[in-house]
Amino acid sequence: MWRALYESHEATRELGNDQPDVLLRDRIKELVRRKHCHMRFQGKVDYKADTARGREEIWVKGAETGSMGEPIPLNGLPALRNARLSLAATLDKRRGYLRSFTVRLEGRAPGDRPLLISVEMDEKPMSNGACGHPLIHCHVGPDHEAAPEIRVPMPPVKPWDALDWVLAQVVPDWEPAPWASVLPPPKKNER
Amino acid sequence: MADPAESLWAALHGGSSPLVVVFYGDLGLRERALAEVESLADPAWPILRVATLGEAQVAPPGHLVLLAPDDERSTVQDLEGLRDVLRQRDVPVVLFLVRGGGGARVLAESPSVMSWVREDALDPEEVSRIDPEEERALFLREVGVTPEEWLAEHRDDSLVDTRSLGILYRARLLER
Repeated sequence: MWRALYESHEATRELGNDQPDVLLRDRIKELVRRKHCHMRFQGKVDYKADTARGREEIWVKGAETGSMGEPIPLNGLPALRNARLSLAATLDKRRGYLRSFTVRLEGRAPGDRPLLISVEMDEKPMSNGACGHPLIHCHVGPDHEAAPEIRVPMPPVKPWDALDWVLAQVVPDWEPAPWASVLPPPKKNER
Repeated sequence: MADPAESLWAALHGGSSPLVVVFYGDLGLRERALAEVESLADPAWPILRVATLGEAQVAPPGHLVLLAPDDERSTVQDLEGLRDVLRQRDVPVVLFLVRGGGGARVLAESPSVMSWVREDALDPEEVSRIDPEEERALFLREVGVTPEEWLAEHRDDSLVDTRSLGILYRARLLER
């Protein structure tokens, strides 16, 4: 099972015709439409490219200093105050694949408890093995230093799928895959 | 210079001129350029893709019009005559031209049209290009170590703090 998960994670690096910055930005645009985010942050999902080596980096530029990697604030989330969203990804454009990504949401849960949810795709296998440290995993805890360090194995998600999943945890009615669109139609006898 | 998305966003949402010009690399990349602009649009703007100035001229003023003409040269040549009509719009028209193509050359030779293009013509792909040596020097100045040294120190850290995320990804871009 762990080998199969690793292989599915590696396969998910293939980008095909996907435009990662656009797909991530489309989610920010929807957050803007739902009034969880200011419109200027659509323009803060940006990218830089080292075209000689075929590398591209995508990241958000935040609210305070406008620095690369600084999170953008989300508001109006009933279960998370002071919410901050960080997005970053490294691409190999020449070969058309994802090298790594981070989709991170932090804030204060009810009771003023700090909460961090961070979906990470590693550049390569880390730690001891595919069970304890799957290539695509999600940290869930109060912060980045909390022990034990929990790494929940994720399905083979691209960064925008990971963003959908993270947002589905905290944004009311954020559901890109309603059951009606997922489940097979009932068989004739069952109707 | 601002980065490509920031530049495009500023052009779409700032200024009073009715026209934004976006260059793309080749015809195979035009669809990607349109998708990029759509992702930066105000969610309240309906979006209309058109292929002719005639269609752009009659588009509702509150729609974002993405004009991707087959005949780019003629389109640019005919633009000046539509200035007053386009000025009535609430939301700009975005004209897509292939870099170095006939439309781009006519535009460069039309100072009167260029004078009413917002934020100058934008080339997101060109704007995104870094000078790796300059960026490495900047990284060293700001962080105090080379990208490779920073990554070596942090590569085994399973989770960097959020403040370091920007440094991590900059280092990954610049790493030799």
